[in-house]
Amino acid sequence: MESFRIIGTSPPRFDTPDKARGRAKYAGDYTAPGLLHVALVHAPIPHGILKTVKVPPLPDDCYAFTAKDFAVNLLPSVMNDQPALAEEHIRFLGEPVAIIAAPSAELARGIASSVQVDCTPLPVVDDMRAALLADAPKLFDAGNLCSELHSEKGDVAAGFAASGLVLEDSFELPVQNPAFLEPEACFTRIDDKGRLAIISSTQNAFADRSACAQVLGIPEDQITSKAATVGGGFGGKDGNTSQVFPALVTWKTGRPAKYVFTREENMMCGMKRHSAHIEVKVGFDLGGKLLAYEGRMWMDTGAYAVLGPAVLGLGTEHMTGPYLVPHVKLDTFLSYTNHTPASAMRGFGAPQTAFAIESLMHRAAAALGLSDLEIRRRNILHRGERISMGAPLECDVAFEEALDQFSKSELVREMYERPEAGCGYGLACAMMSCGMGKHVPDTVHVRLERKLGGGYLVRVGLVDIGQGGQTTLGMIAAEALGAELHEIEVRLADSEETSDSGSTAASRMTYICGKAIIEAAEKLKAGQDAAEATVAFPEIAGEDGMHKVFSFIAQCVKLKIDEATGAVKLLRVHNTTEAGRIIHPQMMAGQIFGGIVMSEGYALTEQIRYRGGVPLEKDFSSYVLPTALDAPSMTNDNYDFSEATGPYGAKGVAEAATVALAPAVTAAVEQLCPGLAIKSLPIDREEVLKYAAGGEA
Amino acid sequence: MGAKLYRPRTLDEAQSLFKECCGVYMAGGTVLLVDRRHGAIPDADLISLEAIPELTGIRETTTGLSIGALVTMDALEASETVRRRAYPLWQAAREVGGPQVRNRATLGGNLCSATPSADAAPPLLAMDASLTVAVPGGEERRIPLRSFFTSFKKCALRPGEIVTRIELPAPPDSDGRFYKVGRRSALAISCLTLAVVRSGNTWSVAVGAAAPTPVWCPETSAALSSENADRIDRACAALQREIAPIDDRWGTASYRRTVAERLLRRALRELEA
Repeated sequence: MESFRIIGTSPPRFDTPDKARGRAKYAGDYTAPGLLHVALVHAPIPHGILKTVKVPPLPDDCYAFTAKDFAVNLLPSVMNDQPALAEEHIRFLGEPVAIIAAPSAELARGIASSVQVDCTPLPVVDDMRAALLADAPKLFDAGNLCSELHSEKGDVAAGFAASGLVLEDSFELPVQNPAFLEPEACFTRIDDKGRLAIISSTQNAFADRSACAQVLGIPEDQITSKAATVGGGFGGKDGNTSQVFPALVTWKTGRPAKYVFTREENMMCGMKRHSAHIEVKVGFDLGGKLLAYEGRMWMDTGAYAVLGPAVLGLGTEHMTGPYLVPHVKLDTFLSYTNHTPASAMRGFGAPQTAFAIESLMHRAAAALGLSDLEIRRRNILHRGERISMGAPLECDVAFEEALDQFSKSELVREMYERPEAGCGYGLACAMMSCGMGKHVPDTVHVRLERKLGGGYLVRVGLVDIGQGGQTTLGMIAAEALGAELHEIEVRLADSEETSDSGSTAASRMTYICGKAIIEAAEKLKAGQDAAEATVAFPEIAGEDGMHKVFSFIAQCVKLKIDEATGAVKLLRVHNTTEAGRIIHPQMMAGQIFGGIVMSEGYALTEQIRYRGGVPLEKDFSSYVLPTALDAPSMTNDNYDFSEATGPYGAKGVAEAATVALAPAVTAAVEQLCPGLAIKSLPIDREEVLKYAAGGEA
Repeated sequence: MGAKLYRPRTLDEAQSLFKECCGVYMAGGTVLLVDRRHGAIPDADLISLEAIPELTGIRETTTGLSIGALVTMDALEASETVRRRAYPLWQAAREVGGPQVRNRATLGGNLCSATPSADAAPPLLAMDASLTVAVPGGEERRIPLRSFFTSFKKCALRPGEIVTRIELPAPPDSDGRFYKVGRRSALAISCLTLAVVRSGNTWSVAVGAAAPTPVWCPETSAALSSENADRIDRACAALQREIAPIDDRWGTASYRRTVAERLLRRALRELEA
C-alpha cells in the first residue's frame, strides 16, 4: 500500500485563522469611498405582463435602472431564457424588475419599496404536471416543457413478466432552499485601469465575468472577477445571483456598488432544489434481484431553466440507485411554472430519485422477507456493469466491501442484533457522480510556481466555498512536491491570478484539480520554475458523455417518535462512504455530517410550498431548518480504497451525504408506524401520529 | 426610520415619556422589533424599560415568588429558586427561542405580547399568577393573569400602564410540568403548549396556542381535582371544550386537540408517579 506524508492527515485548514479572528472578508464586507448600495424592485405578482415601472422622484445621488439599461437583457444559461431584469413578461413573484442605487442600504430599499410596478395578471402555472397540459397558460411561446429525457435499456415488459414481485408507487419531493449562512452578495468598483472589478459570493468567478460582459455589452478583458470569502454555496451560488445588478450600477455611474440579499430575498429569489413528482414501478425476482424499473418523473424548474436541464439529466441518470437493473425505461420531464427558479443544489437531482428507489427497496425487502441490507447486497453495481441509462460504470468501485464495513459498524449491528426498545432503525444506500456529466465542459487549468525566497504558489480558478478546497489542494500540492504544508500558498478564483476552470460544483474540485496539481508538480520537480497542467474529467473522452466517476454511501438511522406529538427525533446516524482515498479525514467527516443535517431538514421540516405562485414560506421563522439541538449524534467511516484515475486515489464526495438520508429516516419511521407508507417529504407528523403506537391515546 | 429610543430610569419618567411622545414601551424587544421590521406596527418611538430597577429581580415571598417584569428568560432558566418553586415556568423559560433570544426576551414582555403561543403564559395561568401594574399617576393595581388576556394579541392593560412584577403562589407541595410542541428543538414557534400544576389533590391546567389567547381550563382542572373514578376521561373531555384551536402552518385544529389530550395524560402519568 502507498504511504503518504500528508494525504490522510487532518491538518488545520488554511482559512481557519482568518475566520476565527473575524478577518475573513466576505463580499458584503467590502466597501469604498462613494459606495452606492443596491436594492431591487421585485415583481409583485407571480405571472403577468409588465406595463409600467413608475419610479418616484429620486433624492440626490440616487439612481434607478430598468431592463433597457442593460446592453443585452439576457443572462447566459443553458436555455438562454432568463432576462437580467423582467422587461415584458413577469414569470415569478419577486422577479427583479428594476434596480435602485443610493448612498445607504436603507434609502435604497425605501425607494425600491415605493416604486410602483403595474402589471396585467396572467393565469398562474402552479403545478409541474398540469403545466404540460395543452390548455395550460404558457410561460414561454414554445410552451412549458423545458426539457425531457427518454431512455430504454433492455425490455421492461419482459422484465416485469419475469418478476415475482412488482411494486408501484408515486412520490412527492419538496422545494428546498440551500440556506447558506451568508446570503447572496456582490461588490463592484472601477479599478485603477478603468476596468469593472467584481468581488462576489460565488461558485464561479469566471462565469460572473462572462455574465457581466454579456449583459453590459463589453469585452471580458474590461472586467476582472474574483470570489470573496464565501459563506456556503451548496449549488445555490452557481450562476448569477446578485452580480449583474451592482455591476450595472458601477458601469453606469463609475461608482463602487454593493448588493447583499436580505434573507427574505434569498427565500424569494434565490435558487432552489427542484421539487419532483416521481412515479415508479419496480420488479424483483423472489430472491430480491431487481429485474425491471419503469420510472416517470416531473421536475419543477420554476420560471427559468438555469441549470434545470442538467439537474433533470443527473436525477434521471441516478434513478435506479447504486444497483444493477437489467431492464430500465425512464421518461422524465422538466416543467416551467410560476415558481422561484430551481437550479443546482447539493445532490443535483439525485436525492429526489434516490428517495423513490430506496423507499421501494425497503418495501421489497419487507415483502420478500429479506433485510434492508441484504436486498441491497444482492443488487450492488460492480465495475463495468451498466447503470440506469445504460452507460457502463468505469471507475473503481468497492461498494460491496464498503457495505460489509457498514454492516459491522456499531449502529448497524445494534439495528440487527440488539435494537433498543421503542426506537426505529432504517438504512439506505446511494451513489453520487463526480464531475459535470453530459456535454458540459469539465476541464481545469492549474499553475504551480516556485516562489522567490522559497515555497510554492498554487493557482487554481475554483473557489473555496467553505468546503475546505483550499486546504485539500494545498495538501495535494505539498505531497506531490515533497514540500511541507506551510510552504504552500493556494490562490483561488481570481481572473487576474488564475485560469477559468469552470464551476466549483459537481463534487469535482478535489478530483480534477488534484490531478492537475500532481501533473504540474511533476514538471516542477523536473526543474522548471513554473508549470501548468490542463486536465479533463474522464467522461469528456467517453462517447455517451455520461458520468464515469461515482462515490458510494450507506447510512443508518436510529430515531424515536414522540407518541404524544408524532415528532420524529433523530438520535444516531452512521455513515460509511466509498469515495476512494480520503485526503483530509476530518474535513471529510465535516462534509458528511453537514450533509446529514441538511438532509435531516429535507426529511423532516424544510419545504417551500406555493399557492397560486405565492410561496407560503418566506423567511426563516416559517422555513424550518434543523438547529444544533436537532442534529443527531453522528459517526462516519470511510472504506479505505483508491480510485486509479483519482489524485492519490481520491474521488469527489461533496454531495454524496445528501442522497441517502431521507429514505433511511422514512424506513425507520415506518418501522415504528405499522401500516404507514411515507410517499412525500418532509414527513408529515400529523400522519405519523395517526400510526404511531397509540399507547397514550 | 427616524424613531427615537428612550431609556428612562424610573416608572414616573417612563410614564411621562409615554404621555409626551406617544411611543411604545419596549422590554426585550424580541417581539416588538420583529413586528416593526415586518411593518406590522408603526415606527413609533421606543421607550425601553430596561433601566428601571423596580422591574428587576426574582424574590421569594411568604406565599411564592415575585418576579420582575424585565427578568429575562435566561435569568429564569439560571435561577435555582425558579426551578425549585415554579418548575413548569422554568421549563417554559428554557424552551423560549434560542440563547440569544432568551438573553433579551423578558417575562413581562412575553405576557404583554399576549400572543396565543406565549410560552410563559400557560405555567403562570396554571399557577394563578397575578400582575402588579403601575398606573400613570403613581397608583398600583393588581390584575389576575386569568383575566389579563382579553382577545387575540390584546391584554387588559390600559394606555400608559406598565406591568412591574409577576406574583405567583407556589405552595411547598406543588409540582408541575410544561410541554412545548414545535417543529424543532429550539427557535420554534409553539404549535401547542400545555402546563399542569398539582398541589396535593388540587390540579390546574392551562393551554397555549390552542385558542385566540392562552387559556386556563377551569373545568378540566376541576375534573382532575375531583375524586371521580373517571376523572381523567372527564378532564380530557372538558379540555376539548375549553380549547378552540384553528388550522395554521404549525398544525391543524384536530392535531392540536389530539396532542393536547395526549400531553395532559402524559403530565398526569409523570405527576402521579
